[in-house]
Amino acid sequence: MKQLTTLKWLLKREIWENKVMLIWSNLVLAGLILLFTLSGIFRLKDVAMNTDPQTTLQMNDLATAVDHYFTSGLILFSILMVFTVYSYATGSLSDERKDRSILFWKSLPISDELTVLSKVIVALILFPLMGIITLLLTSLISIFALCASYAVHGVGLSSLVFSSHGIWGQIGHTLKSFPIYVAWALPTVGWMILASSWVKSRPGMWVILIPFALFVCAAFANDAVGVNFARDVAYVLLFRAIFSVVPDSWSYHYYLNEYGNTLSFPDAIQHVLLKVDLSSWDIFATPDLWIGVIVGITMLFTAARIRRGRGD
Amino acid sequence: MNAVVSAKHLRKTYGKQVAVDGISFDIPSGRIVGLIGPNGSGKTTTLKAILGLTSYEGELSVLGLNPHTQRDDLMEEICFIADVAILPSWLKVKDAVDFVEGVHPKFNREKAQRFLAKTKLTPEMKVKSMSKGMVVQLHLALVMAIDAKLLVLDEPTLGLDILYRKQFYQDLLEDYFDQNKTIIITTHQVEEVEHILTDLLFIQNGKISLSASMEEVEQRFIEVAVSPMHVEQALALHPVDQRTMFGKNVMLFDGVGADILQALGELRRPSVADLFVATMKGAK
Repeated sequence: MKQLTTLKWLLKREIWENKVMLIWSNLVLAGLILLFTLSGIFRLKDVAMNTDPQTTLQMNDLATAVDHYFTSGLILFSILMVFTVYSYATGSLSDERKDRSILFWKSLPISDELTVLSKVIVALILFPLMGIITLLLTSLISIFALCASYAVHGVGLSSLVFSSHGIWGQIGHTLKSFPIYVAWALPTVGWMILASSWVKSRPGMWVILIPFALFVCAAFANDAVGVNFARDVAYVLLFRAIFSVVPDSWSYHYYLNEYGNTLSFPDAIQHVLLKVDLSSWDIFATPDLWIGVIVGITMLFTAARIRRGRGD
Repeated sequence: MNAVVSAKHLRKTYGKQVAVDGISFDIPSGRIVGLIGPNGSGKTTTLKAILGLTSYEGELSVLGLNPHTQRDDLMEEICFIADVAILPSWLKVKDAVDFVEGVHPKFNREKAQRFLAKTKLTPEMKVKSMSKGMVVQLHLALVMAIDAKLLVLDEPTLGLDILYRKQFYQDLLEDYFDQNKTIIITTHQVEEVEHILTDLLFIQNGKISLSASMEEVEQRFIEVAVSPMHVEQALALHPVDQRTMFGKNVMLFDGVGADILQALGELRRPSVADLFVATMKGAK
Protein backbone atom coordinates (compact mmCIF):
# COMPACT_ATOMS: atom_id res chain seq x y z
CA MET A 1 0.00 0.00 0.00
CA LYS A 2 2.80 2.33 1.00
CA GLN A 3 4.56 1.41 -2.24
CA LEU A 4 1.48 2.25 -4.27
CA THR A 5 1.19 5.70 -2.71
CA THR A 6 4.86 6.31 -3.40
CA LEU A 7 4.39 5.16 -6.99
CA LYS A 8 1.48 7.56 -7.38
CA TRP A 9 3.69 10.44 -6.26
CA LEU A 10 6.54 9.31 -8.48
CA LEU A 11 4.18 9.39 -11.46
CA LYS A 12 3.01 12.87 -10.51
CA ARG A 13 6.61 13.88 -10.25
CA GLU A 14 7.27 12.63 -13.80
CA ILE A 15 4.29 14.59 -15.08
CA TRP A 16 5.50 17.79 -13.37
CA GLU A 17 8.91 17.34 -14.90
CA ASN A 18 7.77 16.35 -18.39
CA LYS A 19 4.69 18.49 -18.85
CA VAL A 20 6.00 19.90 -22.12
CA MET A 21 6.64 16.53 -23.70
CA LEU A 22 3.64 14.76 -22.21
CA ILE A 23 0.92 17.35 -22.60
CA TRP A 24 1.96 20.45 -24.52
CA SER A 25 3.52 18.70 -27.51
CA ASN A 26 0.29 16.76 -28.02
CA LEU A 27 -1.83 19.87 -27.64
CA VAL A 28 0.25 21.78 -30.17
CA LEU A 29 -0.10 18.95 -32.68
CA ALA A 30 -3.84 18.75 -32.00
CA GLY A 31 -4.12 22.51 -32.50
CA LEU A 32 -2.34 22.34 -35.84
CA ILE A 33 -4.48 19.45 -37.04
CA LEU A 34 -7.67 21.20 -35.97
CA LEU A 35 -6.59 24.42 -37.64
CA PHE A 36 -6.16 22.70 -40.99
CA THR A 37 -9.21 20.47 -40.62
CA LEU A 38 -11.63 23.16 -39.60
CA SER A 39 -10.48 25.54 -42.32
CA GLY A 40 -10.89 22.58 -44.71
CA ILE A 41 -14.42 21.94 -43.48
CA PHE A 42 -15.34 25.56 -44.07
CA ARG A 43 -14.16 25.34 -47.65
CA LEU A 44 -15.93 21.99 -48.08
CA LYS A 45 -19.20 23.73 -47.42
CA ASP A 46 -19.02 25.58 -50.70
CA VAL A 47 -17.73 22.87 -53.02
CA ALA A 48 -18.85 19.44 -51.87
CA MET A 49 -22.23 20.24 -50.49
CA ASN A 50 -23.46 22.04 -53.53
CA THR A 51 -23.18 18.83 -55.49
CA ASP A 52 -25.73 16.26 -54.46
CA PRO A 53 -24.30 14.53 -51.40
CA GLN A 54 -27.23 12.21 -50.92
CA THR A 55 -26.03 9.33 -53.05
CA THR A 56 -24.84 6.33 -51.07
CA LEU A 57 -21.61 6.14 -52.96
CA GLN A 58 -20.54 9.56 -51.86
CA MET A 59 -21.61 8.87 -48.34
CA ASN A 60 -19.47 5.76 -48.21
CA ASP A 61 -16.57 7.75 -49.58
CA LEU A 62 -17.07 10.18 -46.78
CA ALA A 63 -16.97 7.38 -44.20
CA THR A 64 -13.72 6.14 -45.73
CA ALA A 65 -12.38 9.67 -45.66
CA VAL A 66 -13.16 9.90 -41.94
CA ASP A 67 -11.41 6.57 -41.52
CA HIS A 68 -8.36 7.84 -43.30
CA TYR A 69 -8.50 11.04 -41.38
CA PHE A 70 -8.25 9.12 -38.13
CA THR A 71 -5.44 6.98 -39.51
CA SER A 72 -3.43 10.02 -40.60
CA GLY A 73 -3.94 11.53 -37.17
CA LEU A 74 -2.78 8.27 -35.62
CA ILE A 75 0.37 8.36 -37.73
CA LEU A 76 1.14 11.96 -36.80
CA PHE A 77 0.62 11.36 -33.09
CA SER A 78 2.66 8.15 -33.30
CA ILE A 79 5.60 9.98 -34.87
CA LEU A 80 5.42 12.60 -32.14
CA MET A 81 5.21 9.91 -29.49
CA VAL A 82 8.22 7.98 -30.80
CA PHE A 83 10.37 11.09 -30.56
CA THR A 84 9.11 12.14 -27.14
CA VAL A 85 9.45 8.63 -25.70
CA TYR A 86 12.97 8.37 -27.11
CA SER A 87 13.87 11.72 -25.61
CA TYR A 88 12.20 10.90 -22.30
CA ALA A 89 13.51 7.36 -21.84
CA THR A 90 17.10 8.11 -22.80
CA GLY A 91 17.19 11.00 -20.33
CA SER A 92 15.16 9.29 -17.63
CA LEU A 93 18.06 8.26 -15.38
CA SER A 94 20.85 10.47 -16.73
CA ASP A 95 19.27 13.91 -16.31
CA GLU A 96 18.95 13.47 -12.55
CA ARG A 97 22.66 12.75 -12.40
CA LYS A 98 23.48 15.69 -14.62
CA ASP A 99 21.68 18.19 -12.38
CA ARG A 100 22.60 16.14 -9.29
CA SER A 101 19.00 16.05 -8.15
CA ILE A 102 19.49 12.28 -7.78
CA LEU A 103 20.89 13.07 -4.34
CA PHE A 104 17.61 14.71 -3.37
CA TRP A 105 15.48 11.81 -4.63
CA LYS A 106 17.84 9.40 -2.92
CA SER A 107 17.48 11.22 0.38
CA LEU A 108 13.85 10.09 0.47
CA PRO A 109 12.57 6.57 1.18
CA ILE A 110 12.03 5.63 -2.47
CA SER A 111 13.62 2.46 -3.78
CA ASP A 112 15.50 2.41 -7.06
CA GLU A 113 13.19 -0.30 -8.39
CA LEU A 114 10.13 1.86 -7.79
CA THR A 115 11.80 4.83 -9.45
CA VAL A 116 12.60 2.78 -12.54
CA LEU A 117 9.08 1.34 -12.55
CA SER A 118 7.57 4.82 -12.54
CA LYS A 119 9.70 5.76 -15.54
CA VAL A 120 8.70 2.64 -17.46
CA ILE A 121 5.03 3.32 -16.79
CA VAL A 122 5.41 6.86 -18.08
CA ALA A 123 7.30 5.80 -21.20
CA LEU A 124 5.17 2.78 -22.11
CA ILE A 125 1.72 3.75 -20.93
CA LEU A 126 1.40 7.45 -20.18
CA PHE A 127 3.00 8.76 -23.38
CA PRO A 128 0.91 6.58 -25.77
CA LEU A 129 -2.20 7.17 -23.67
CA MET A 130 -1.82 10.94 -23.80
CA GLY A 131 -1.38 10.68 -27.57
CA ILE A 132 -4.46 8.48 -27.97
CA ILE A 133 -6.63 10.72 -25.79
CA THR A 134 -5.56 13.87 -27.61
CA LEU A 135 -6.07 12.17 -30.97
CA LEU A 136 -9.50 11.01 -29.87
CA LEU A 137 -10.58 14.48 -28.81
CA THR A 138 -9.13 16.02 -31.97
CA SER A 139 -10.96 13.52 -34.16
CA LEU A 140 -14.24 13.92 -32.32
CA ILE A 141 -14.09 17.70 -32.57
CA SER A 142 -13.32 17.49 -36.30
CA ILE A 143 -16.03 14.97 -36.96
CA PHE A 144 -18.63 16.89 -35.00
CA ALA A 145 -17.70 19.97 -36.98
CA LEU A 146 -18.05 17.99 -40.21
CA CYS A 147 -21.41 16.53 -39.18
CA ALA A 148 -22.59 19.95 -38.07
CA SER A 149 -21.63 21.58 -41.34
CA TYR A 150 -23.53 18.91 -43.26
CA ALA A 151 -26.47 19.08 -40.88
CA VAL A 152 -26.86 22.74 -41.74
CA HIS A 153 -27.57 21.55 -45.28
CA GLY A 154 -30.00 18.96 -43.97
CA VAL A 155 -27.69 15.97 -44.43
CA GLY A 156 -27.36 13.59 -41.49
CA LEU A 157 -23.91 12.02 -41.28
CA SER A 158 -23.58 10.96 -37.67
CA SER A 159 -25.05 7.47 -37.96
CA LEU A 160 -22.64 6.62 -40.74
CA VAL A 161 -19.54 8.23 -39.33
CA PHE A 162 -20.07 6.83 -35.86
CA SER A 163 -20.82 3.30 -37.04
CA SER A 164 -18.57 0.38 -36.17
CA HIS A 165 -16.97 0.76 -39.58
CA GLY A 166 -16.29 4.40 -38.95
CA ILE A 167 -14.54 6.06 -36.12
CA TRP A 168 -15.56 3.65 -33.33
CA GLY A 169 -14.02 0.75 -35.22
CA GLN A 170 -10.77 2.65 -35.52
CA ILE A 171 -10.75 3.57 -31.87
CA GLY A 172 -11.48 -0.02 -30.91
CA HIS A 173 -8.60 -1.19 -33.06
CA THR A 174 -6.24 1.31 -31.49
CA LEU A 175 -7.22 0.39 -27.94
CA LYS A 176 -6.95 -3.32 -28.72
CA SER A 177 -3.43 -2.79 -30.06
CA PHE A 178 -2.38 -0.91 -26.95
CA PRO A 179 -1.44 -3.92 -24.77
CA ILE A 180 0.53 -5.35 -27.69
CA TYR A 181 2.39 -2.07 -28.00
CA VAL A 182 3.28 -2.05 -24.31
CA ALA A 183 4.68 -5.57 -24.43
CA TRP A 184 6.33 -5.11 -27.81
CA ALA A 185 8.08 -1.83 -26.98
CA LEU A 186 9.33 -3.09 -23.60
CA PRO A 187 12.80 -4.25 -24.79
CA THR A 188 13.45 -0.94 -26.56
CA VAL A 189 12.32 1.17 -23.61
CA GLY A 190 14.25 -1.15 -21.28
CA TRP A 191 17.37 -0.63 -23.36
CA MET A 192 16.93 3.15 -23.40
CA ILE A 193 16.47 3.33 -19.63
CA LEU A 194 19.41 0.99 -19.08
CA ALA A 195 21.66 3.14 -21.27
CA SER A 196 20.44 6.20 -19.43
CA SER A 197 21.31 4.70 -16.05
CA TRP A 198 24.75 3.92 -17.29
CA VAL A 199 26.13 6.80 -19.36
CA LYS A 200 25.91 10.39 -18.21
CA SER A 201 26.40 12.35 -21.38
CA ARG A 202 24.57 11.76 -24.65
CA PRO A 203 22.72 8.56 -23.73
CA GLY A 204 20.53 9.13 -26.78
CA MET A 205 23.51 8.68 -29.02
CA TRP A 206 24.75 5.54 -27.30
CA VAL A 207 21.31 3.96 -27.43
CA ILE A 208 21.60 3.90 -31.20
CA LEU A 209 25.35 3.63 -31.61
CA ILE A 210 25.94 0.52 -29.49
CA PRO A 211 23.45 -1.79 -31.25
CA PHE A 212 24.58 -0.39 -34.57
CA ALA A 213 28.26 -0.99 -33.85
CA LEU A 214 27.49 -4.51 -32.64
CA PHE A 215 25.54 -5.13 -35.79
CA VAL A 216 28.40 -3.95 -37.99
CA CYS A 217 30.78 -6.27 -36.13
CA ALA A 218 28.35 -9.14 -36.53
CA ALA A 219 27.92 -8.40 -40.20
CA PHE A 220 31.68 -8.60 -40.74
CA ALA A 221 31.90 -11.78 -38.71
CA ASN A 222 29.04 -13.09 -40.76
CA ASP A 223 31.04 -12.70 -43.94
CA ALA A 224 34.09 -14.27 -42.40
CA VAL A 225 32.35 -17.35 -41.02
CA GLY A 226 29.99 -17.75 -43.89
CA VAL A 227 26.91 -18.47 -41.78
CA ASN A 228 23.98 -16.31 -42.62
CA PHE A 229 22.89 -14.74 -39.37
CA ALA A 230 23.15 -11.08 -40.29
CA ARG A 231 19.44 -10.73 -40.73
CA ASP A 232 18.63 -12.23 -37.33
CA VAL A 233 21.25 -10.09 -35.67
CA ALA A 234 19.86 -7.04 -37.41
CA TYR A 235 16.40 -7.95 -36.23
CA VAL A 236 17.42 -8.33 -32.62
CA LEU A 237 19.90 -5.46 -32.36
CA LEU A 238 18.39 -2.85 -34.57
CA PHE A 239 14.75 -3.67 -34.72
CA ARG A 240 13.92 -4.99 -31.26
CA ALA A 241 16.41 -2.77 -29.43
CA ILE A 242 15.76 0.51 -31.21
CA PHE A 243 12.65 0.53 -33.38
CA SER A 244 10.15 -1.41 -31.32
CA VAL A 245 8.81 1.81 -29.81
CA VAL A 246 7.17 2.49 -33.16
CA PRO A 247 3.47 1.57 -32.96
CA ASP A 248 2.47 -1.31 -35.21
CA SER A 249 6.13 -2.11 -35.73
CA TRP A 250 5.24 -5.72 -35.00
CA SER A 251 4.03 -5.84 -38.60
CA TYR A 252 7.68 -6.54 -39.37
CA HIS A 253 7.44 -9.64 -37.23
CA TYR A 254 4.65 -10.87 -39.49
CA TYR A 255 6.63 -9.94 -42.54
CA LEU A 256 9.62 -11.97 -41.40
CA ASN A 257 7.73 -14.97 -40.13
CA GLU A 258 4.88 -15.37 -42.54
CA TYR A 259 5.67 -13.85 -45.86
CA GLY A 260 9.29 -12.73 -46.00
CA ASN A 261 10.68 -16.12 -46.95
CA THR A 262 8.10 -17.21 -49.44
CA LEU A 263 7.04 -14.07 -51.26
CA SER A 264 8.93 -11.40 -53.12
CA PHE A 265 9.49 -8.19 -51.20
CA PRO A 266 6.64 -6.07 -52.65
CA ASP A 267 4.19 -8.97 -52.45
CA ALA A 268 5.14 -9.69 -48.88
CA ILE A 269 4.68 -6.05 -47.91
CA GLN A 270 1.30 -6.02 -49.58
CA HIS A 271 0.26 -9.16 -47.72
CA VAL A 272 1.30 -7.69 -44.41
CA LEU A 273 -0.55 -4.48 -45.10
CA LEU A 274 -3.72 -6.05 -46.33
CA LYS A 275 -4.06 -9.39 -44.60
CA VAL A 276 -2.56 -9.05 -41.17
CA ASP A 277 -4.74 -7.79 -38.35
CA LEU A 278 -2.18 -5.88 -36.30
CA SER A 279 -4.53 -5.60 -33.35
CA SER A 280 -4.78 -9.38 -33.11
CA TRP A 281 -3.61 -10.73 -29.78
CA ASP A 282 -2.27 -13.82 -31.53
CA ILE A 283 1.10 -12.17 -31.27
CA PHE A 284 1.00 -12.88 -27.53
CA ALA A 285 1.50 -16.53 -28.48
CA THR A 286 4.86 -15.89 -30.13
CA PRO A 287 8.21 -16.33 -28.43
CA ASP A 288 9.40 -13.20 -30.24
CA LEU A 289 7.20 -11.02 -28.05
CA TRP A 290 7.92 -12.82 -24.77
CA ILE A 291 11.66 -13.00 -25.23
CA GLY A 292 11.55 -9.26 -25.75
CA VAL A 293 9.51 -8.81 -22.57
CA ILE A 294 11.93 -10.90 -20.52
CA VAL A 295 14.99 -9.15 -21.94
CA GLY A 296 13.31 -5.80 -21.34
CA ILE A 297 12.51 -6.56 -17.70
CA THR A 298 16.04 -7.85 -17.14
CA MET A 299 17.46 -4.62 -18.50
CA LEU A 300 15.17 -2.60 -16.23
CA PHE A 301 16.30 -4.50 -13.15
CA THR A 302 19.89 -3.94 -14.22
CA ALA A 303 19.14 -0.23 -14.60
CA ALA A 304 17.77 -0.15 -11.04
CA ARG A 305 20.90 -1.90 -9.78
CA ILE A 306 23.12 0.58 -11.57
CA ARG A 307 21.15 3.50 -10.13
CA ARG A 308 21.68 1.92 -6.72
CA GLY A 309 25.41 2.48 -7.01
CA ARG A 310 25.11 6.02 -8.28
CA GLY A 311 26.01 8.21 -5.34
CA ASP A 312 26.84 11.22 -7.42
CA MET B 1 22.35 3.74 24.21
CA ASN B 2 23.36 1.91 21.06
CA ALA B 3 25.53 3.66 18.55
CA VAL B 4 23.63 5.31 15.73
CA VAL B 5 26.62 4.96 13.47
CA SER B 6 29.29 2.38 14.08
CA ALA B 7 32.22 1.97 11.72
CA LYS B 8 34.97 -0.60 11.99
CA HIS B 9 37.93 -0.43 9.63
CA LEU B 10 35.85 1.43 7.09
CA ARG B 11 37.81 1.71 3.88
CA LYS B 12 37.07 2.99 0.42
CA THR B 13 39.34 3.21 -2.58
CA TYR B 14 38.82 4.76 -5.97
CA GLY B 15 41.24 2.85 -8.16
CA LYS B 16 44.62 3.28 -6.46
CA GLN B 17 43.48 6.36 -4.57
CA VAL B 18 42.61 5.60 -0.95
CA ALA B 19 39.77 7.91 0.08
CA VAL B 20 39.00 6.42 3.48
CA ASP B 21 41.76 4.43 5.10
CA GLY B 22 40.31 1.93 7.55
CA ILE B 23 38.69 4.28 10.05
CA SER B 24 36.72 3.19 13.11
CA PHE B 25 34.36 5.35 15.13
CA ASP B 26 31.06 5.27 16.99
CA ILE B 27 28.45 7.97 17.10
CA PRO B 28 25.97 7.56 19.95
CA SER B 29 22.40 8.76 19.84
CA GLY B 30 21.49 12.31 20.81
CA ARG B 31 24.70 13.91 19.61
CA ILE B 32 25.57 16.66 17.16
CA VAL B 33 28.81 15.66 15.55
CA GLY B 34 31.00 17.96 13.52
CA LEU B 35 32.87 15.98 10.88
CA ILE B 36 35.68 18.28 9.99
CA GLY B 37 38.42 17.90 7.43
CA PRO B 38 39.97 19.62 4.45
CA ASN B 39 38.79 19.00 0.90
CA GLY B 40 39.70 15.52 -0.28
CA SER B 41 40.16 14.22 3.27
CA GLY B 42 37.58 11.44 2.87
CA LYS B 43 34.84 13.39 4.62
CA THR B 44 32.27 13.20 1.86
CA THR B 45 33.13 9.58 1.09
CA THR B 46 32.54 8.67 4.72
CA LEU B 47 29.16 10.42 4.64
CA LYS B 48 28.25 8.70 1.39
CA ALA B 49 29.06 5.33 2.90
CA ILE B 50 26.83 6.13 5.90
CA LEU B 51 24.02 7.15 3.56
CA GLY B 52 24.31 3.99 1.48
CA LEU B 53 25.34 5.93 -1.59
CA THR B 54 28.56 4.08 -2.14
CA SER B 55 30.08 0.66 -1.57
CA TYR B 56 32.88 0.20 0.96
CA GLU B 57 35.10 -2.32 2.70
CA GLY B 58 34.98 -3.00 6.40
CA GLU B 59 32.01 -2.90 8.72
CA LEU B 60 29.50 -0.14 8.91
CA SER B 61 26.21 -0.14 10.74
CA VAL B 62 23.75 2.74 10.75
CA LEU B 63 20.80 2.41 13.14
CA GLY B 64 21.62 -1.29 13.23
CA LEU B 65 21.28 -1.63 9.47
CA ASN B 66 23.77 -2.14 6.70
CA PRO B 67 23.49 1.08 4.69
CA HIS B 68 24.50 -0.55 1.45
CA THR B 69 22.28 -3.62 1.42
CA GLN B 70 19.40 -2.33 3.57
CA ARG B 71 19.24 1.16 2.20
CA ASP B 72 15.52 1.14 1.45
CA ASP B 73 14.63 0.46 5.09
CA LEU B 74 17.24 2.85 6.36
CA MET B 75 15.98 5.82 4.36
CA GLU B 76 12.80 5.98 6.42
CA GLU B 77 14.92 6.85 9.44
CA ILE B 78 17.64 9.05 8.03
CA CYS B 79 17.73 12.16 5.94
CA PHE B 80 20.48 14.21 4.36
CA ILE B 81 21.50 17.29 2.47
CA ALA B 82 24.43 17.02 0.12
CA ASP B 83 26.90 19.78 -0.45
CA VAL B 84 25.33 21.63 -3.38
CA ALA B 85 21.87 22.85 -4.24
CA ILE B 86 20.43 19.76 -5.83
CA LEU B 87 16.72 20.38 -6.19
CA PRO B 88 15.60 19.96 -9.81
CA SER B 89 14.92 23.22 -11.64
CA TRP B 90 11.31 22.39 -12.57
CA LEU B 91 10.17 21.75 -9.00
CA LYS B 92 7.62 24.13 -7.49
CA VAL B 93 7.59 24.88 -3.78
CA LYS B 94 4.09 23.51 -3.26
CA ASP B 95 4.82 20.40 -5.35
CA ALA B 96 7.97 19.76 -3.37
CA VAL B 97 6.03 19.90 -0.10
CA ASP B 98 3.26 17.67 -1.49
CA PHE B 99 5.74 15.17 -2.86
CA VAL B 100 7.79 14.77 0.30
CA GLU B 101 4.59 14.53 2.33
CA GLY B 102 3.36 11.84 -0.07
CA VAL B 103 6.44 9.64 0.06
CA HIS B 104 7.76 10.24 3.56
CA PRO B 105 5.77 8.85 6.48
CA LYS B 106 7.64 11.06 8.94
CA PHE B 107 7.15 14.37 7.20
CA ASN B 108 5.35 17.10 9.12
CA ARG B 109 3.63 19.50 6.75
CA GLU B 110 2.91 22.21 9.31
CA LYS B 111 6.51 22.26 10.37
CA ALA B 112 7.70 22.67 6.78
CA GLN B 113 5.26 25.49 6.26
CA ARG B 114 6.42 27.16 9.43
CA PHE B 115 10.00 27.13 8.15
CA LEU B 116 8.90 28.32 4.72
CA ALA B 117 6.97 31.20 6.25
CA LYS B 118 10.26 32.62 7.50
CA THR B 119 11.52 32.87 3.92
CA LYS B 120 10.46 34.78 0.83
CA LEU B 121 9.43 31.59 -0.94
CA THR B 122 5.91 31.38 -2.35
CA PRO B 123 4.04 28.14 -3.17
CA GLU B 124 4.05 28.69 -6.94
CA MET B 125 7.74 29.50 -7.15
CA LYS B 126 9.93 27.19 -9.21
CA VAL B 127 13.49 26.24 -8.23
CA LYS B 128 14.58 27.62 -11.62
CA SER B 129 13.65 31.15 -10.61
CA MET B 130 15.14 31.02 -7.10
CA SER B 131 18.45 32.39 -5.95
CA LYS B 132 20.96 29.87 -4.71
CA GLY B 133 20.18 30.78 -1.12
CA MET B 134 16.45 30.30 -1.66
CA VAL B 135 16.99 26.79 -3.02
CA VAL B 136 18.90 25.94 0.12
CA GLN B 137 16.11 27.44 2.25
CA LEU B 138 13.53 25.26 0.52
CA HIS B 139 15.68 22.18 0.90
CA LEU B 140 16.31 22.87 4.57
CA ALA B 141 12.60 23.48 5.23
CA LEU B 142 11.79 20.11 3.69
CA VAL B 143 14.50 18.22 5.51
CA MET B 144 13.91 19.83 8.91
CA ALA B 145 10.26 18.81 8.74
CA ILE B 146 11.24 15.15 8.54
CA ASP B 147 11.42 13.45 11.89
CA ALA B 148 14.55 11.45 11.08
CA LYS B 149 16.67 9.64 13.67
CA LEU B 150 19.82 10.63 11.84
CA LEU B 151 20.28 13.82 9.87
CA VAL B 152 23.38 14.30 7.78
CA LEU B 153 24.18 17.83 6.67
CA ASP B 154 27.02 18.19 4.21
CA GLU B 155 27.76 21.90 3.88
CA PRO B 156 24.10 22.75 4.55
CA THR B 157 24.42 26.52 4.58
CA LEU B 158 26.42 27.01 1.39
CA GLY B 159 25.05 30.03 -0.43
CA LEU B 160 23.05 31.34 2.52
CA ASP B 161 23.63 34.79 3.90
CA ILE B 162 24.80 35.21 7.46
CA LEU B 163 21.41 36.15 8.92
CA TYR B 164 19.73 33.06 7.61
CA ARG B 165 22.66 30.84 8.56
CA LYS B 166 22.37 31.90 12.19
CA GLN B 167 18.63 31.43 12.06
CA PHE B 168 19.06 27.97 10.59
CA TYR B 169 21.38 26.71 13.28
CA GLN B 170 19.11 28.15 15.92
CA ASP B 171 16.11 26.37 14.38
CA LEU B 172 18.12 23.20 14.10
CA LEU B 173 18.85 23.28 17.79
CA GLU B 174 15.50 24.48 19.09
CA ASP B 175 13.00 23.12 16.66
CA TYR B 176 14.58 19.97 15.37
CA PHE B 177 17.11 18.43 17.67
CA ASP B 178 16.21 16.28 20.66
CA GLN B 179 17.72 13.41 22.61
CA ASN B 180 16.49 10.80 20.15
CA LYS B 181 18.08 12.44 17.17
CA THR B 182 21.60 12.55 15.90
CA ILE B 183 23.04 15.10 13.54
CA ILE B 184 26.27 14.91 11.59
CA ILE B 185 27.44 18.20 10.14
CA THR B 186 30.31 19.04 7.86
CA THR B 187 31.07 22.63 7.09
CA HIS B 188 33.90 24.96 6.26
CA GLN B 189 32.45 27.62 8.54
CA VAL B 190 33.35 25.81 11.72
CA GLU B 191 32.98 28.88 13.89
CA GLU B 192 29.27 28.97 13.11
CA VAL B 193 28.58 25.46 14.32
CA GLU B 194 31.04 24.95 17.14
CA HIS B 195 28.65 26.21 19.80
CA ILE B 196 26.03 23.61 18.88
CA LEU B 197 28.36 20.62 18.46
CA THR B 198 28.61 17.97 21.15
CA ASP B 199 31.33 15.94 19.45
CA LEU B 200 34.22 16.48 17.10
CA LEU B 201 35.54 14.12 14.48
CA PHE B 202 38.56 15.38 12.59
CA ILE B 203 39.41 13.53 9.45
CA GLN B 204 42.53 13.89 7.43
CA ASN B 205 44.00 11.90 4.55
CA GLY B 206 41.36 9.25 5.08
CA LYS B 207 42.21 8.82 8.76
CA ILE B 208 40.69 10.14 11.93
CA SER B 209 43.01 12.60 13.63
CA LEU B 210 40.75 13.47 16.54
CA SER B 211 37.60 11.96 17.94
CA ALA B 212 36.34 13.49 21.15
CA SER B 213 33.33 15.04 22.83
CA MET B 214 33.38 18.78 23.38
CA GLU B 215 33.80 18.23 27.15
CA GLU B 216 36.87 16.11 26.54
CA VAL B 217 38.20 18.67 24.13
CA GLU B 218 37.74 21.40 26.70
CA GLN B 219 39.61 19.41 29.29
CA ARG B 220 42.38 18.29 27.00
CA PHE B 221 43.13 21.40 25.00
CA ILE B 222 44.03 24.69 26.53
CA GLU B 223 45.33 27.76 24.78
CA VAL B 224 47.69 30.02 26.63
CA ALA B 225 48.71 33.55 25.76
CA VAL B 226 52.19 33.03 27.17
CA SER B 227 53.87 35.98 28.86
CA PRO B 228 57.30 36.70 27.28
CA MET B 229 59.19 35.65 30.38
CA HIS B 230 57.60 32.21 30.44
CA VAL B 231 58.15 31.22 26.83
CA GLU B 232 61.01 28.81 27.48
CA GLN B 233 59.12 27.20 30.29
CA ALA B 234 56.07 26.85 28.08
CA LEU B 235 58.01 25.30 25.19
CA ALA B 236 59.32 22.66 27.57
CA LEU B 237 55.73 21.45 27.99
CA HIS B 238 55.56 20.61 24.24
CA PRO B 239 52.73 22.75 22.90
CA VAL B 240 51.02 21.15 19.90
CA ASP B 241 50.84 24.49 18.14
CA GLN B 242 52.06 28.02 18.56
CA ARG B 243 51.45 31.32 16.84
CA THR B 244 51.97 34.95 17.61
CA MET B 245 49.11 37.33 18.19
CA PHE B 246 49.59 40.99 19.16
CA GLY B 247 53.17 40.24 19.97
CA LYS B 248 52.27 37.46 22.33
CA ASN B 249 53.04 33.81 21.91
CA VAL B 250 49.84 31.86 21.83
CA MET B 251 50.41 28.18 22.46
CA LEU B 252 48.07 25.26 22.37
CA PHE B 253 48.57 22.42 24.82
CA ASP B 254 47.16 18.94 24.71
CA GLY B 255 46.67 17.20 28.04
CA VAL B 256 48.59 19.62 30.23
CA GLY B 257 46.75 20.56 33.39
CA ALA B 258 45.23 24.02 33.78
CA ASP B 259 46.90 24.38 37.17
CA ILE B 260 50.33 24.14 35.56
CA LEU B 261 49.47 26.40 32.62
CA GLN B 262 47.93 29.11 34.76
CA ALA B 263 51.37 30.21 35.84
CA LEU B 264 52.45 30.81 32.23
CA GLY B 265 49.88 33.36 31.19
CA GLU B 266 46.28 33.96 30.34
CA LEU B 267 44.24 30.80 29.61
CA ARG B 268 41.51 30.54 27.03
CA ARG B 269 39.39 28.00 25.29
CA PRO B 270 40.76 27.27 21.81
CA SER B 271 38.30 27.56 18.95
CA VAL B 272 37.55 24.44 16.95
CA ALA B 273 39.13 26.09 13.93
CA ASP B 274 42.40 26.66 15.81
CA LEU B 275 42.29 23.15 17.11
CA PHE B 276 41.75 21.83 13.64
CA VAL B 277 44.60 23.82 12.15
CA ALA B 278 46.85 22.61 14.97
CA THR B 279 46.04 18.94 14.50
CA MET B 280 46.47 19.34 10.76
CA LYS B 281 49.95 20.73 11.27
CA GLY B 282 50.73 18.04 13.77
CA ALA B 283 49.93 15.33 11.31
CA LYS B 284 52.28 16.77 8.74
